[in-house]
Amino acid sequence: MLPFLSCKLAQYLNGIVAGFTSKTKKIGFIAAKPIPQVLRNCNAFLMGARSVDPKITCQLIVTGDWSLPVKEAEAVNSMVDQGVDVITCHVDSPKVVVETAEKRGIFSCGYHASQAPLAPKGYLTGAEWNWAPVYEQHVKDALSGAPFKNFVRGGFKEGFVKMSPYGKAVSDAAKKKADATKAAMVKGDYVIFKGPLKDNTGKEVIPAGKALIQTDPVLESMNYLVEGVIGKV
Amino acid sequence: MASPRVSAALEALAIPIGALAGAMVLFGLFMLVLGQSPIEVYSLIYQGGFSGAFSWQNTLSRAAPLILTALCVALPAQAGLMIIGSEGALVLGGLVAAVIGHLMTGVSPMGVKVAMALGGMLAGGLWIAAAGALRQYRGINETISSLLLTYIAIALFNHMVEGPLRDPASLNKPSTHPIGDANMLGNFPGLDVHWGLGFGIIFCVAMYVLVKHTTWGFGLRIVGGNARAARLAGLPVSQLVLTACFLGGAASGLAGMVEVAAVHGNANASLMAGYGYAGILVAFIARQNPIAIIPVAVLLGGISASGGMLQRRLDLPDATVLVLQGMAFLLVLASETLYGRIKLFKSREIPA
Amino acid sequence: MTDLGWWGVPLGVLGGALRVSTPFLFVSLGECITEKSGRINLGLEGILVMGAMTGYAVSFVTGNPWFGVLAAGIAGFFLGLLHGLICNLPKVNDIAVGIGLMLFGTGFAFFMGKPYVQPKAPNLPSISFGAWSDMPQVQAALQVSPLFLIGIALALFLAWGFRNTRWGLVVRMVGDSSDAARAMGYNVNVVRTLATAAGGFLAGIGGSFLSLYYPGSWSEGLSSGQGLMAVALVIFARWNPIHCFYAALLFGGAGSLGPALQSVGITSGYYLFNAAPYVLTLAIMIATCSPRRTLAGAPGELSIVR
Repeated sequence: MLPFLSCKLAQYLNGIVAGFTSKTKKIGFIAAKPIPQVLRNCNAFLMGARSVDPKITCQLIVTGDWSLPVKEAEAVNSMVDQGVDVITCHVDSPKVVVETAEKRGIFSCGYHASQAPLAPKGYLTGAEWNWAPVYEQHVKDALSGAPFKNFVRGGFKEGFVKMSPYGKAVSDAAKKKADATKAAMVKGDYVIFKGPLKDNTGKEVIPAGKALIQTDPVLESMNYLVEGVIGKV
Repeated sequence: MASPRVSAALEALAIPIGALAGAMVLFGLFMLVLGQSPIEVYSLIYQGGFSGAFSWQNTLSRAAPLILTALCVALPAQAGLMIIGSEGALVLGGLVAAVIGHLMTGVSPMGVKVAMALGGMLAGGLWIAAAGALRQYRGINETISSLLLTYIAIALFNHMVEGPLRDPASLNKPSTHPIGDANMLGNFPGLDVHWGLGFGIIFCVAMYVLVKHTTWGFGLRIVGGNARAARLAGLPVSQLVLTACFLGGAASGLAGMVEVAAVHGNANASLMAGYGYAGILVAFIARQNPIAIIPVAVLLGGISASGGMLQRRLDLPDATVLVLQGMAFLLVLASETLYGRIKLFKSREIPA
Repeated sequence: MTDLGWWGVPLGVLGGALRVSTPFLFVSLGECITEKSGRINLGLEGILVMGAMTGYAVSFVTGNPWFGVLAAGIAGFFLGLLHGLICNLPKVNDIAVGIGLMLFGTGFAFFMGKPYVQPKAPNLPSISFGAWSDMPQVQAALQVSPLFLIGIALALFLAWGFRNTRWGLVVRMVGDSSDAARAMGYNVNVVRTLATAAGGFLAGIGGSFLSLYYPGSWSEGLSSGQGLMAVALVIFARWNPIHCFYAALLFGGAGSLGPALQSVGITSGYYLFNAAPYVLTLAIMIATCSPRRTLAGAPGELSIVR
């Protein structure tokens, strides 16, 4: 079973909350490897933030592997030095990133599971995977004799992704907008990646009038960073 | 009864086996302390590694690269060098092989395979020869430099695979371009094990003959015994050392080629499966003897093949196998002290 | 907050040097003691990882990070003792035993450490030296760990002790000529075993810094060869504890070069930048070693320089 859950939706919501919270208008994303799955989340994070304030930029740091705690901590420190004040990540475990952000007194959004206890002051919210419905569906399929699905895709609508409860620092305006967006996502027709969309080299990647729904396979091969992300694939 | 030769062979066989048995007892006690039944653990290791066609296939597929990476330790060891950089030679060999396999067109698959093997061996060989050269010409400890070179090789590998050499079609697992189905190494006739095992065995036998039965090998062993005496005797010490390092690195590079051409079909991060590090252990348990490497690699391949079974059945962490391996390693090294000290193996004349 | 721009790189490297150097410092001081006695312990990488795991686990269980530091040292002491005892056996090679200990220590730590990857253990406090600056970046860079200060004190103490105390002279004599030491009535094996155990103790503490201060949590990817690089660093530092300190700072700074460059927009080639410490170690060894003469300050009995 290879469940590629749509965390980009959740990272978009992370981005909305980050957009409301950031004062320096610089947010950061720490990635293990520059692969489509990760780039998509980074792009969604910034696009969520830009839906609040289009001036926001997102710094991307790639550590090079899934578990490099010292590099992850160094990445947080160097981003904070550059003025970044909200950070999220896509590595094996966000523990080190969230903890280091808390030590430096900035905000963080999590991933995989709730990290709120690690950063009581700075944790905003986070996308969590909710495995129960995935397994439920597998069991249901097995009982009904349907073939085993090797590739499961889904988001909020299917109940595969949920958000951790909002932290103290999240403003009411942020909650309101994030909740409204989430409600639209639950209906299943919310589109993040739609044209016109430019990448950070100025090239148009999605032409005006075209919308990629969240299960569109084209998104599985995303190899660009959207405008406003500081970094290179 | 026991001629000196026979008793020395018996000693060389009995002491490592005794040390391994000691490690098994120690590990069994450790499991007992943790509330696991040692008998159950060992029977699972046996089931996972050595019973049934499927386990054997898994074991032998793991043994193939281990045989080759162990040679990367054992050959320089003949000259007294302790090289632990097999992993670096393996990934570079795999990378070069994958590039050759992708770029060579208009050549018969056999030609491509030969070129891939040669390319992988050259890359690995030069990498380890560099560690040998640093030692011969700059006096740098080869154990440390070969491990540093491994870290550098892995960084280069990642840089190339995720950068300039990346196949844009490889999405969430960055890889080089595929070498193509026609260029893949097939299986042994009648067996579900790829040809890499054959390469390993041939390489081991050839190196055994080279080291034990040629003048070159004799010279190499003199260097390993006493480099100063070898130099006084007029042996080309540096040349011998560098060649041994090159051959060792070539074996590891070939392991990378085998992993690319028989398992993955391209170069990607899965090449770094730790075969290089496990090969160090194989070489030391085999006491750097190229022939003994073969059974030891099969044994360790089987133990690591059973790791998943231990995890699933007994809920033990995947590092369980590492603990057993670490204990075996330390006891085998400690047992070095027993050579020539056990009465039983002293050669003696016994009247018939 | 002031916009630093490119100044972020030197500041990041300086901050990184202060943050990341402590494990290098402790491991290299430990190895310095061991090598002065004429043995090399390449297994300090394994001891470092074991110390990191033990320190985190004990801090989690007792709620006091300092108990964790002590426990990490004790775990390192016993692994060092194991190395020392095995090497006392005739015909056993210390470098090979070190490789074995490296594999055993990391494997054992991964095995025992599984339950402690998730929970949060109390971390060591930090001491601030940046109050004079009104730039938060500088203040943050000058947050140092008490272990760092202890490490500096230890380096000074060892440098003094090797010259001026009885045990210092005994360790050095055993390392320079075992025959002379035997003639003076010292038991060479006992001295070397204790020196290796003491080295293990320090390396274990170096490991606890990783899990209890920076980055401050236990996971299997925690060490990326710091223990091994520290062994190389001792050769570079010519077995001088004070030089070990400078070298540790240099290596710490090199490790933070990659992320610092990425944060100002140099984003390609991060794998290569991240390999900077390894390249630096190798380059330094190439520049400072020589096959023809024995290194100044090298213990005469040491197998790597003989």
